[in-house]
Amino acid sequence: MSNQKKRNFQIEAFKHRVVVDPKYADKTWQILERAIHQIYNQDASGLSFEELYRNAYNMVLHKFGEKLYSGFIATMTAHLKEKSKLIEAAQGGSFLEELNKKWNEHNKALEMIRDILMYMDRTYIESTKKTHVHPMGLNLWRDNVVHFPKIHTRLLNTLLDLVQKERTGEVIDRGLMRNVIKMFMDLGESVYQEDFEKPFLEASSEFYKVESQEFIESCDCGDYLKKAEKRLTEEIDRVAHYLDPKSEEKITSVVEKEMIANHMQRLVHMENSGLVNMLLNDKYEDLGRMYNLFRRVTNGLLTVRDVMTSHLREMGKQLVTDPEKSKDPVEYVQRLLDERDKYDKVINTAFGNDKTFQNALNSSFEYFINLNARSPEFISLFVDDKLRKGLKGITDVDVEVILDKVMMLFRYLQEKDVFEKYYKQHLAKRLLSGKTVSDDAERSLIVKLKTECGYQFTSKLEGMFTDMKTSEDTMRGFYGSHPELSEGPTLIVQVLTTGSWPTQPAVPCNLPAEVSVLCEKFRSYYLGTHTGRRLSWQTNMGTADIKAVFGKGQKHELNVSTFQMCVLMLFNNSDRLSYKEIEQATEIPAPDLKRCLQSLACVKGKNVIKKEPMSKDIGEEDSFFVNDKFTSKFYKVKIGTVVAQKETEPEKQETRQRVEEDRKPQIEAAIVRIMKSRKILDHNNIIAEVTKQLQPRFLANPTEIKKRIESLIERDFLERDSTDRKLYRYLA
Amino acid sequence: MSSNKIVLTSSDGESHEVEEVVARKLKIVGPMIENDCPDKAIILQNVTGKILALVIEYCKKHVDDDQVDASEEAKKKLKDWDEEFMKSPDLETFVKLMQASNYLNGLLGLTCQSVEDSIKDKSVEEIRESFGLENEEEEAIPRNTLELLKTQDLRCFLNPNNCFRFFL
Repeated sequence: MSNQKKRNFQIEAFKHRVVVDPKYADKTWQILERAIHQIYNQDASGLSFEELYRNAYNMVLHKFGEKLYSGFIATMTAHLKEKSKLIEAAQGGSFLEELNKKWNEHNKALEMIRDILMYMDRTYIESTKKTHVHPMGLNLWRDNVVHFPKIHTRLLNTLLDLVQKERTGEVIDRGLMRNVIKMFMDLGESVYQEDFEKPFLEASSEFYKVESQEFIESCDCGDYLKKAEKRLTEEIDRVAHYLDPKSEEKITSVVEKEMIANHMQRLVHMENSGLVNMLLNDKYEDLGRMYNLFRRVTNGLLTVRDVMTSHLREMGKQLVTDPEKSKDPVEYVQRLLDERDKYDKVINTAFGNDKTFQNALNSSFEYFINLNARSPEFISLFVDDKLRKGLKGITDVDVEVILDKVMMLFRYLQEKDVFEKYYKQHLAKRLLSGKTVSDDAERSLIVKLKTECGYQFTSKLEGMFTDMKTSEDTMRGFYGSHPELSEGPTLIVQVLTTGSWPTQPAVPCNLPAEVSVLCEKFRSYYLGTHTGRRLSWQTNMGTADIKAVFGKGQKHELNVSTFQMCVLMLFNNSDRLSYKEIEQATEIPAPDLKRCLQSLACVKGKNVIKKEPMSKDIGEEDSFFVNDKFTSKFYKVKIGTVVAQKETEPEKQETRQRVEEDRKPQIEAAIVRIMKSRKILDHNNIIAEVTKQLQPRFLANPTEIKKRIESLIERDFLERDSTDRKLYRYLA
Repeated sequence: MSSNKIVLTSSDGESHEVEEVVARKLKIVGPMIENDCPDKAIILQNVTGKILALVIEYCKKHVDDDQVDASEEAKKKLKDWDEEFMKSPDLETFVKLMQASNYLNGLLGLTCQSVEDSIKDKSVEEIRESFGLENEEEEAIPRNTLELLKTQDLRCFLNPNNCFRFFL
């Protein structure tokens, strides 16, 4: 702005401005007051906004803001008092409509008035920090209408009544509800909460308390949950249509509390329809619903999970301890796999793959699988069955799936070393009898075991495969250097490295001359190239294919065990032999010989030998002769007995004993490892550490650990502390 | 908003036709349109033609203020124009312009800022002199208001009520 040279410059007032005439204020106010009346009476069309605005402006400019403000309040209050009388007089259904109508009218009037009083709003009110026009208008409505005693209660009751009606299935005017409740929201959050929301929540709580009680007496679990879900959806819908979004969480909490939390136990344990029933019958939809509803309440899922866990444990325990079920190992394991698949599916489909449920499933399986000490053996037998014949015709991908599932069960085993022992035995039989269906599948499983348990677990198993391969090469070399042997019986030898294969005592057996000659030739050949080694023939593990001609000229090729071959070859020289004669000639031990003769003479369809008397069991007085009348559909007949079977009681005891023996050095090694690094440790801690270290292989027995410690003390690996008998020290 | 035209008429009968969006820069125009004038002719009894013309000039210049992010250069140009706009009128016109902006509820930021700028380095006496305020009017202008203005308390200053106590 330019520097002014003029001084004492008088500023001219505007022509129509009158300075400080007391009547001026009253006159101006009257104009405005009348205008407000007209606005409220819906008669505003004749008014000039500009004129009213100017009048209000002038009042404030002339310092009559106070008068204007208080006048405005008084006029509006008077109007609202009248309005509330009208509203209150409305009958029945039209009460709410009247209220809504008057509210809309008030809002419109207020807007117009605010525009007229705009100048006062931004100057006088600003500087005096009074309430602005629009909020004041709302407050006046609140105080004079909503909180008018005769209206206040009636309004609330009307609204709650309508909600109740809607809950019982009637159709209500949602638009009207929305407007009226929005009115509460517009009047302020505390008004909404105090005058509507709180009582609404209380009434809802009562309603659902009663309803849930009714339902739970009359419905089964599935139906009840459906109803609860429906109510929940309804309430959310209600909020979306005519309540403040902030109320959603509050009302859903009420429903959750009354319908679910308060009846949790009763629902889950309901007879014939509760959780257990749903699980047994694969009721995925009901289970999914239960999961979704229960996760909304504290400890809801915990309850479900606990009941599921105890059910699993009970069911599993029955499964593994039922003697009927343990008769067939393959079926036993298949049942376990089926159960696991079933619950896996439940968790996937209905429980959203919830990790805590997965964990509960795993811990339950781990619990009951180990209740049956034969589980490791049975799992190995199951694998054996699959690798012999069960995988024929299945795609590679499916093979992997089956093996992976078996690995899952394997992980649950606490005595993995027992499994290892049996697996070795069964694998040996499979390899030696050439009965494995898929080499790839075998290797694949070994890899999985290696990944799970480490190199040591599978190194011997891999050694077995190596031996098989090496033997092939050896055989080629043998026949390569003995071309004259191509005529006559063919000998196939597998050379087994003693450490890798399951230990078997060598069983005496007199081989037929033709065979023993060949064997000797092989022995010299092999020792020629591998000096310093010792070979011993495992006659109890071999097989033979012999061509036989029977009485009527029937020709057959018989696949038999080595023992069976020895027995059968005897009949080339004699028509009839007694038990004793056979025993003497073959030198086969009695139990093995009896089993062998039984399979040759007593099995229907495979009885190439006949026995007198025709009893089931082999007696020492029996005599045997060739069955000239033997027939079979097939040219090749299999009579071998070298199949892996469930062990008999004595065999089982033996294996268990061997396992226990094997564990002793492992425990000792663990103790030494730990003491070497800790130097001094007390008894309880040694037990804990050793158990932890050995846990991947087996569950170590504290008594056994103690014994090993004593043994180590005797051998001067450890010593007891002189003052504290519970403390041990490592001796370098 | 439609590109409607509105007629603004001053107290002495001068009419100016402007785009609605330009007119709405004066906050009072909105309610007037909504409450009053179906034919969109607005009579402003408190503003003379000369002043109204200036006001409209300002509004036209600033009609795009809320919209596109202007470049730094454009912003500076606008600022320069504003300064010129405020310097050019004589004192009487300037005062009337301020009163009009108060009534019409527009341009207020600019007008108040200008007053602040013009008094900020002056003493109370100098202010009185340059605005031609007699001593006897000291009652009408509380001393503390002047002090406040001097200390450039912007909040107080931008409140037109305080600002215009000078001129009442």
